[in-house]
Amino acid sequence: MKIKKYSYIILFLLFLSTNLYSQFYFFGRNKVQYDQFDWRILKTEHFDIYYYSEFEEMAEIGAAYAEDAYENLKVKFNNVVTRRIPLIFYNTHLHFQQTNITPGMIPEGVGGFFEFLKGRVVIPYLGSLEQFRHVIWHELVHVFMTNKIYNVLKDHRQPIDRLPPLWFIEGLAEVWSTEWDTQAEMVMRDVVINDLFVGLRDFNRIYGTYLMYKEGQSFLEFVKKEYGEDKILQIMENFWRFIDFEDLLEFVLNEPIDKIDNKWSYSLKQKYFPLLENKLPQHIQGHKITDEGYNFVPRYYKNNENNEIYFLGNRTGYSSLYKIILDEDLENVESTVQLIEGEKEEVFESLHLFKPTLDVSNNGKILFASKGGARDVLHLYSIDKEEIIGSYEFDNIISIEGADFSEDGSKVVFSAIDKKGYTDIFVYDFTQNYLDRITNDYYSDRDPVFNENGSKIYFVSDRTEGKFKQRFNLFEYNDEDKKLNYATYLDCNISKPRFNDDYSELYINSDYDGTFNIWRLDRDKNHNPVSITQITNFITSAMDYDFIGNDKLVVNGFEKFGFQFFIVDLTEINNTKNQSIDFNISEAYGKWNAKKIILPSSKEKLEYEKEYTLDYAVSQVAADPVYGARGGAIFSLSDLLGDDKYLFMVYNTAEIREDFLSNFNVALTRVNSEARTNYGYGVFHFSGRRYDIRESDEYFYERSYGGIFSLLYPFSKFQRLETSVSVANSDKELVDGLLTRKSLLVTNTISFVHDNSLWGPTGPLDGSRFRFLLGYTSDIKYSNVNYYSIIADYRYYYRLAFRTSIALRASIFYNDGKEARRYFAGGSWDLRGWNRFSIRGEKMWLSSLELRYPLIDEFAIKFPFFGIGVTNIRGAIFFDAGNAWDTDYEETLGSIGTGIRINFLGFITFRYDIGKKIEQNFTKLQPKLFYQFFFGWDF
Amino acid sequence: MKRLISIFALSLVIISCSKNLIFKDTLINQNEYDQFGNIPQRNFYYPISISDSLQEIWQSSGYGSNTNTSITIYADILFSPELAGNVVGFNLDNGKELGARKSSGQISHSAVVDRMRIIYCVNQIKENYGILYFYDFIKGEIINSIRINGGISNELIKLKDGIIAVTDFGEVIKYNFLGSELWNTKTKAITLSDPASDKNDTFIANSNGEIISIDNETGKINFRKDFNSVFESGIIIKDKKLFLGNNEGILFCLNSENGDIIWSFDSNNKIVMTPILDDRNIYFGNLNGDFYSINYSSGKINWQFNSGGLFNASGLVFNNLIIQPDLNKKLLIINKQDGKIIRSKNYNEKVKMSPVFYDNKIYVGVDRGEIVAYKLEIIND
Repeated sequence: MKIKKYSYIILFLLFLSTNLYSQFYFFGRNKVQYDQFDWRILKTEHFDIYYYSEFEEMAEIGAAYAEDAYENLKVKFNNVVTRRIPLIFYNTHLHFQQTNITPGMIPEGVGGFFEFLKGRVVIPYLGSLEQFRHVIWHELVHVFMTNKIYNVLKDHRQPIDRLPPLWFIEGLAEVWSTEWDTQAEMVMRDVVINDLFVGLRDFNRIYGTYLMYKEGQSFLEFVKKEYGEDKILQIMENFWRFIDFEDLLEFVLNEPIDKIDNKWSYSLKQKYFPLLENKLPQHIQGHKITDEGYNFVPRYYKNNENNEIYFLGNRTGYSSLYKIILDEDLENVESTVQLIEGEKEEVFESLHLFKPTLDVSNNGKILFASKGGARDVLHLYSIDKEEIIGSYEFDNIISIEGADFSEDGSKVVFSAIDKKGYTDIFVYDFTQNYLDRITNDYYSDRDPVFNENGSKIYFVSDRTEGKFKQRFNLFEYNDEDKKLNYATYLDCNISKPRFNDDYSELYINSDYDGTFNIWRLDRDKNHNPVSITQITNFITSAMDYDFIGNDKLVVNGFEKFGFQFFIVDLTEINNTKNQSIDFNISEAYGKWNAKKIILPSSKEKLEYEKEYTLDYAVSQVAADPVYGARGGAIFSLSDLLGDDKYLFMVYNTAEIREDFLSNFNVALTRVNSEARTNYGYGVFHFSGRRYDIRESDEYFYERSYGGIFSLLYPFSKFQRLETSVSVANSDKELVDGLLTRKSLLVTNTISFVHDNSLWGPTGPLDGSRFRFLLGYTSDIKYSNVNYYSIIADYRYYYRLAFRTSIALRASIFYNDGKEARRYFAGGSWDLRGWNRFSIRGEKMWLSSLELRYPLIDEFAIKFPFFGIGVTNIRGAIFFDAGNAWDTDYEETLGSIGTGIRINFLGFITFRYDIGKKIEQNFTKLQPKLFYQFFFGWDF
Repeated sequence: MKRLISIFALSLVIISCSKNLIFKDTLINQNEYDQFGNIPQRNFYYPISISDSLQEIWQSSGYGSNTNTSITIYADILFSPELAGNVVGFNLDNGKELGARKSSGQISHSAVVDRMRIIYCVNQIKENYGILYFYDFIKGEIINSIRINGGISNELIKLKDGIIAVTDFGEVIKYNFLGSELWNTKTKAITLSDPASDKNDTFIANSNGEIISIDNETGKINFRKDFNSVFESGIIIKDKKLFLGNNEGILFCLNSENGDIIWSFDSNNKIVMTPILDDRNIYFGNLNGDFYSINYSSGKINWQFNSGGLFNASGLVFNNLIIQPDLNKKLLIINKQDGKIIRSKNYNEKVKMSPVFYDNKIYVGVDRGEIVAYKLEIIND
């Protein structure tokens, strides 16, 4: 897109900021709207529930959860939320990632969010009704808490611009939405026993991390137990009184903050240290074989004489498929190989590390799932050929999690979420090319495995009825009579059933004693399941495991806040302290039914119709001693789903009263992101004195008006096509009152953009980015302007180590024709050392080579009364070259030097460079050093 | 431009000013509704029958919101305590604001009226104390101001010879009407429940689950009984019986002489409001929106309903009807015999304050400081 004028820049930024959402100006990834949903509204007593048609049954269940939460939370908060609360449901996380309600990309770890501006609650179904309930409650705690805090502040006539610290907000949402669960227990055991616990007064050290969520939850559980649950509400009701949250805690709990902190810390040690008597850390009970990154789903394969473990992991920032080769004693890793690098192209957009799918067949094939466009795809990888030999996607299936090959490798059984949101078991027969659906209901059926001959499938399900209602128990599906039976009936959650190597024993993961450990299913002489026996006794959890023969396991353990692999020899385990839990399978029958809100008439189920409400409005009036009073406003309207936005801008730059009307600047733009092809159009009128940095250092008067239309088509998350047309009538006074230039400019551009870069604290570290643009601008009425444009800008980042990269930039910017515009460079962003924006020309090339490395991880100064600290200070060594010219290329400019970059609060990077310019057509170094300070991300 | 700025500045000054709370011409020894519940035992019962129509006389707004307390009245002045630290005086007949005494902080109980003075505590911002003011509204001056550790969120009790204040940190202090301390008893427990008093003793309930009886003359503790619960509901006293609810939703009827349980009733959800009663029954609601009529003697349920809202403020009982605020922006008029809601009056804001019946009118406090006066039609039984 050619940026014509200062006013166009504003228009462009306005347009761009919403149209491209999280995309970072020139480059950026795409939020692709693969699906168009037929939204409906289910109106309950307190909620407007937005869902799409296939998801109706789950939406009715979600509606019941929401109303239950409302009734519960109004008591807890001693408050009612009197407005109707919009709840927006998506049937999978993949659909949730397409939402336009928040402009940013949604990571896989985000299970829902509450958006403060319009009070919208956005929730994906994640495959389990209990999880669905939990997330709905969690987000509604946010709704009630913000409403409570708002009212407390407003009642006391205090500014309403503050909230409690994030640890309290998220901790509260957990405490009042769920019981203390296995995951929270696992994390707290790990941090307390491994001395990673962070006290109340140091919460800023773990700000925004998962640990902060869990420690916040733990602290509030402690407050409930030690001081009473009523104190949690009192913290909120007294929020008006203290600015400092520690003062507030001291007031409500009536104790000094250090004492509160110490009591909490002591209570945790009291709770967890005794575990050391009977339980073991993974590295004591097993032998640790990995030590870096995050590693999941280990699958063992004996490849001739090689002991190979295939797994999904993240060691570089991109989730990938890896292989490690162990020595014959299974003691040491001989090599690690990355087989598939994910998150760089559409076909492997995500390998879902939080919900991974991986299995290795006995005949040397690896099955894994990845997000490929709109849905998950199963890929078959040949270990021999070292390539993908087949990919499978299914019409009705959106999301896949957990798979197991049959003994002969001809079939695979897997768990998947369909369009209704049902999480069911499917079997795919590779030889018949046939998909068979085993279950078809709203219960969560997961982690399926075949028995030896494939006649039975074992899986875990929350369909448990009776005294252990909704617990995940083990179920057995018999393919011959198509019957489904309980295989366990226990008051715990079971996951990851796996047979040992000769299929003689079935093992499971169970949280019976607080965290997930590996247990064995025991049967009586009639082969009926009767008990489970604990095999491992880890302090924290075993996330997954696989057998190496019958006696050894490779276990994916959580320890020291990491996910690593351990080899556990079952023959060396002392089982004397481990327990067996009996159960009576004859007690188990039936399945529970979920409560729903079924509204009888179609009146309560409405088609979604767009209603536009205000997103934001900003206005400003300023009195300038030189230019007089000036003012303007920007505001934005959008529909509830955020698909359609209107942006309106008005400002005035008149310097004298007579110019008031003629200096009105107005722009109205509509941006639609409802479908995969995003489009926008708008009209504008700009008038006033301009300063164009590209041309000269003088002001000129210009009046322009016209319209713009733009289309954006994302091929994938990483690549897109952009095109735009603008028409602008321009009257420009080149010399005040003497020389004018009239034009009717039409500009057409088309661009291809690619970006799969991975960012560190101050800029990209890995991947690549490029934009290729063709443009043509002409004055179709007066023929005063007529030129074409080419931009090719390529950046490549090569990782030398986890946090060290070489970055390369090669760019050319080319305008040619009548009154072609000039580009500019110079300064901290491109040609460092040269004066900022001092290099100008219709043609320009730039090249940079930069080494980016970590310099100081943490730098803190502690004064007597407070401390300050900076983290992630990074260093750079750079070399730049380039120049700009109009007709004749004169010389090449360059610079060389070093610098430091500091990210401040995550949204701005400060840069300081020292170096020497390379002058006189690259023949001479600047005699002295240059020093340059500015802000901005690394290129 | 200068003129514009001047007008703007002047407007700001005018807007931010209000009359002080001075009523020089007010006569002493006038009728009054001098404390929450009108008497130290707390009484919300008026043995008359009324029609179910509420005829609005006036409505007026102060400067901020109120909490679950009530207005108080002296002569023709209505005093409204505000969470933003103000006591606003309104004309009882027309709702016109007469003046306001503004402080920075929070007032979360009724201003006790004693002839020419009002007594109230302003909990301070950024501090863990409140200041108890004894303010002479005829002279327009503070007679006494006392620093209270923790502040006071509980209703004050006005006795014949002084007031009893129960601080948030559980200190129970008796003052005379000039603010001189008569006795002080430290119970050392967070207390967020409105106390009540009969002729001889004051009863308080605290967050440790204790009911404490304190002698009004000496400040000595008569008994201290642990119920292993949290009390946030206020206490009401009748015939040597105490009635209050706890955070588990249990309504207790206790012997005021020893704290023994006479009966209890489980409503399953947190009770915050002070129960209200007449000669036969006790009425209360919980935070789940359940409202109950319980036999005063036996503790057996007469009727119940769920409003879908939330009850945290006490209502009024008449011979035939109950007028009960529901936080969910409603004032419910309930048939006392069967619990049917006869009328539900809807408001734009939450109904937080306990209504006050005075001179055949009721005064309802709605969120954001709005007071609405209604005329009641008395029915001859």
